[in-house]
Amino acid sequence: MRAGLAARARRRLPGVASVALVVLVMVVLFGPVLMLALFSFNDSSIISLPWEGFTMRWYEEAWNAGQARDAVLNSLLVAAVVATASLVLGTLAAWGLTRLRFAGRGLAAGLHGSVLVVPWLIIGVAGLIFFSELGVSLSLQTVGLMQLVVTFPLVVAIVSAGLVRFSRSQEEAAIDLGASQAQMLRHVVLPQIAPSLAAAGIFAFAWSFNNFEISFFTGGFDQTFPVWVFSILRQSENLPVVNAASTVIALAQVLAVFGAWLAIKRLSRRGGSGGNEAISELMTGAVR
Amino acid sequence: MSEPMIVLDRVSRSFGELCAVDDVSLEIGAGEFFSMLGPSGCGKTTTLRLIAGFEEPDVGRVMLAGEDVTLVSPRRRNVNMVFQDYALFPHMSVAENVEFGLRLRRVARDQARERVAEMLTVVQLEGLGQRRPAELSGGQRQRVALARALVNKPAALLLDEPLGALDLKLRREMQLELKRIQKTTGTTFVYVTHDQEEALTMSDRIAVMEGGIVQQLADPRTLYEQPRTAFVAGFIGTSNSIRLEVSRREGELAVMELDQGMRVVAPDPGGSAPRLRITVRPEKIRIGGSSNGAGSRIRGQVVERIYLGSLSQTVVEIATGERLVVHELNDDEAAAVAPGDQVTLSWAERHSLIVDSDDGPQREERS
Ligand SMILES: Nc1ncnc2c1ncn2[C@@H]1O[C@H](COP(=O)(O)OP(=O)(O)OP(=O)(O)O)[C@@H](O)[C@H]1O
Ligand SMILES: [Mg+2]
Repeated sequence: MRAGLAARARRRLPGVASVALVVLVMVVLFGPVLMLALFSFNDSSIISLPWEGFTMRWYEEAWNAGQARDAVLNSLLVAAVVATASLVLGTLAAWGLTRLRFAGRGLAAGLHGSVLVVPWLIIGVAGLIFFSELGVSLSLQTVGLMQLVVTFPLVVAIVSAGLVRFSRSQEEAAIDLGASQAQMLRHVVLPQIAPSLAAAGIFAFAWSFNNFEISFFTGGFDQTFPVWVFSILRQSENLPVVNAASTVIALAQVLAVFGAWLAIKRLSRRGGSGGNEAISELMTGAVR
Repeated sequence: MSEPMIVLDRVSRSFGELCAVDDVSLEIGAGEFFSMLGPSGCGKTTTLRLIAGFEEPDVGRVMLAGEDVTLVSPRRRNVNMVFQDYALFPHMSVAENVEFGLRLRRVARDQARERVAEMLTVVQLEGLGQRRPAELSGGQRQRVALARALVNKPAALLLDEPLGALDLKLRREMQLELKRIQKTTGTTFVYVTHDQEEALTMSDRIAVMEGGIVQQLADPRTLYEQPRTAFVAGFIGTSNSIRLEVSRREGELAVMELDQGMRVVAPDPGGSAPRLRITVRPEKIRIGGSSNGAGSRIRGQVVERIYLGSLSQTVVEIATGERLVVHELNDDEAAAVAPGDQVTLSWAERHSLIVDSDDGPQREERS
């Protein structure tokens, strides 16, 4: 009896341990963020204890700061354009890399991968030098262009992973049954790589929206949200306002990604594979 | 054979240096169950893909129902393929999979539904139309793949090792099933396999391929009883081949004398080859047997005897060091021999199959 209990406890140990590990990781990852979120309701201009009482003041101020709203709108605009452009171009490139045979295919794939590990700071500075050499004035357009440099390979990576998993003989089967290339893509390939496309789009959007380094160096007088945060943080009395604004943005993003995860899971199930792939799709994009 | 359904006319296809299909000519009749049999890498799949249109021949012509389709794209050829991994669309239901080809050809919705239902009945999948491929067993997926191809009423169905992924029992069942479906629909089947038993039991005719070349094209019985080359003899059934000096020729017969009055007699292939390679099927050899008579007699030592249920298999090593496999029915007359025994083997001269003579095309030795 005792032995049975001990054995059962031992069998359950890995389960208990993994739950404990997940909780620990969550605390380390999200603890600081949650602390800041909490302090955004503190009626004090310094972010520290003691608790001075609950207030919505900082949220009101953030809402009324015209610059903040402009910055958020700028970021949304750039992110929408960058995500769309990188999704279209990246998907085409992924198709080429996985389906066509051409000299230098491996090299091209390697180049895409290596861009993903170049620090954004360097890409930002490179963009600055590049545009000033060309005499192009800096604006949201130059920001978008340089962000494309990093979101494009991201999309290529996620979508190629989806395409590689996809069985080639299905494409031949579709053609064999009378489909044109376009019909084959439309009816056989797209429905099955939809989860990859969704994940790629979401992360291209998030990377663009959250990017500071590239936007800072190539934005000129146009501020995106992270750049606005940086600029205003130089005065410490602004801290709670930034804190409030960031909390809203962070919450919106978490909700967006969570919603996307649910949607991708649905898509994956329709695509015949389990929801597990949705997680792997999401994690691929979340590496940065 | 009336008008052939598929004609390959001196077709070749190389990949770089490697000639995967080497000057192959075939005619496949309408309604025929035609198999291509051969070891891995011999060019079976490539030949099938040439017919389907996924490969283009370097030289030669491909004809389909009397029309030259050499340069016609696969989507416009009236043949359908069953892929080894089935290639079902996982995001579609069974019925949607089967309907795919009809939808592309804009067959009216209700008519398409009807044909799909009909086809699902033929492959015995009634009631499973709403399932996803992932919710089916291997054999059921195989049937969906068949239905998806056959519903288009192709002039020929091309099957690339369609049973390769199934276990032995299911394979046997599906072999009968395929044969039944082929008879019901009257469709020409071109069937690729490397399993000789499968080819023998199912096919009207078989092309045995090796190294991109068709070694012999014949019906199963002819392939088994009159293999033209040592390769075919070895690939179809157990190879029992021995190589002997011709001592003299007596009319229709070539006689190869051995020590102690032993000899092998075979039908003379003509020519003046000093040596012949001969194959004898295991079930044609008797242990013991008459010491007079006109047939072959050869002495050897039993090295192995295995009980196989209805059969006993005896392996006998003869003086040249070559080994012969003998199959005997386990009836009352079965010889009681044990490893180490000296035995005499005998067989009628017509069972000595000449598969190679020294003046014929030289083929590499095979162990
Ligand atoms: N696309 C290709 N590129 C290069 N070589 C190829 C290609 N397709 C086939 N080959 C080569 O051509 C030869 C014949 O291939 P094929 O696939 O027709 O063989 P197979 O008889 O179907 O063999 P298996 O029983 O293993 O399927 C092989 O040596 C193979 O390596
Ligand atoms: Mg093959």
